[in-house]
Amino acid sequence: MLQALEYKTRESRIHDLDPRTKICFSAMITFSSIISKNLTLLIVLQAISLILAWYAGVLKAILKGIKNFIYFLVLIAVINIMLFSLGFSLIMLIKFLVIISVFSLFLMVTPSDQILQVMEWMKLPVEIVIGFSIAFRYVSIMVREARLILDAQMARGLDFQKGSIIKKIKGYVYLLIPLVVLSTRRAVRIAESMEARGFGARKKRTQLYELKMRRRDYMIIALVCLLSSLIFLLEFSFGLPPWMTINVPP
Amino acid sequence: MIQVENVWYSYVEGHYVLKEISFSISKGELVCIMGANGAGKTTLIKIISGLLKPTRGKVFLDGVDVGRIPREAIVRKIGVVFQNPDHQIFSETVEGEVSFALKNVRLDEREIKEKVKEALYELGIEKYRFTSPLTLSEGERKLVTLASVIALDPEIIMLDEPTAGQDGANKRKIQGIIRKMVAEGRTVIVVTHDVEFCAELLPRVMVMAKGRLVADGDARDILTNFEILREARLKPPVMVELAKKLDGMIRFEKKPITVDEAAELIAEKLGWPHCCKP
Repeated sequence: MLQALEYKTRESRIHDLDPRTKICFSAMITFSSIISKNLTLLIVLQAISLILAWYAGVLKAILKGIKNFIYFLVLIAVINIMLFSLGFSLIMLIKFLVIISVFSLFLMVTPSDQILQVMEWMKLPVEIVIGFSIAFRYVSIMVREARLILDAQMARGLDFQKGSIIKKIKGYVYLLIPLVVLSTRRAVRIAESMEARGFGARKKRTQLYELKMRRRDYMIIALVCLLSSLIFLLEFSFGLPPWMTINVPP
Repeated sequence: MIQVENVWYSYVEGHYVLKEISFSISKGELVCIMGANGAGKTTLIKIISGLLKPTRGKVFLDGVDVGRIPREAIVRKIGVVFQNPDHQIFSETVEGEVSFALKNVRLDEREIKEKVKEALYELGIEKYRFTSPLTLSEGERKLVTLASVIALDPEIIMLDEPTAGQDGANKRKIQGIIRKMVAEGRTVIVVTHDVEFCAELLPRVMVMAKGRLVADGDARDILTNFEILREARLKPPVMVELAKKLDGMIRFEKKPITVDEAAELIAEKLGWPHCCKP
């Protein structure tokens, strides 16, 4: 599942965009999918994100990531059918798909260094920015360690599958304690090594690569703002013409 | 007896980390599985202990497919000590940590206390019985994890990189424990790339490279075979390299692989046959 959150090194025009453009695009598409209750518009939004993913060369990875959410998607669908209707369930499902796709696309085409740069550009405190960035990078390492801990505890007879819910929850304590200890030790090591290399010695930090908006960045931001405004207007003022509306089952 | 039959394993579809692995290990044997990082050694011991299911092939334990043996029975039969002690330590005391597996196999309280005491004594860490294992040094934490397996008294013990992060004294201690376990009739499998440690133990050696078993034989034959060691990206033991450098000047009847052997052979050549007997 975490593969869907990892940066994929590729050479594409999408990768090449300024990270602020990518953030703006992701935020606007997410916002549009949240406000939209129209199946047609949601399908358009999903199609846009998948086409861009294909253009960036990460479509396969995104579809793989979506496949990992399949049980969660089924759960959302079932709950919404039980509580509301099939049509509402379908809309919620596509909304969720759009959000997963856009979020995955953003993370797959934006290296964490660039996310960090944007946060610094937003004048967030550097300690928070670095903390956020490191935490993000170490998620996959923590997952790998969790697997190793599971193996080590299972080799000593702990069964995470059997027993009552209380026993199962208790079983995860044996996973969490070593995980927390390892993470704390790692955090101390990283802090020491950063300090040893002069982190915090100078108040003002410089960047190896400066953020730079180009013409195509402005164009994409303009286009996505236009699209979101259109969706907003269609949803709340004019409504969609009948020929564009997909009828959802009640 | 452990029997591995044509085992293949892949973590990611289509990318095999183990290929065509077949061998058998008899009861009471001491085996070192050697190979460079990423050769598939740890994956292999996880498969033998039933933690991973082979993608293809089968593993038999005394003739029974490991996949069909209940977890509790495997735990009683096979003890695994993993490379990083921090991957298993969670208890507040060393005693609690060592007794964890014993509680999982449902031994009674009195028996658990006794076994824990014995295991801690055997490894010389009984003074830490009520200490938090998290406050111990890495070497001591490793001994705690070893004690937690020894306390179970399994027939087969698998040690994954037991010398990683250990000082000389602890390495000798671990070597002594391995010898003792073999003398008691247990099967011991050591996964390592520490050739010196392996040479001192004189076990049967299996060499892995790129997921395949490339050599299986006597330690002396394998550790003096430069071609195999090169293929497995292993450095020959220092004494083997010394013997090679002295080749032409001194003719060795048998190739020395440890310091004691080399000293004995050189002394013999110099005409001091009794000077370096171990």
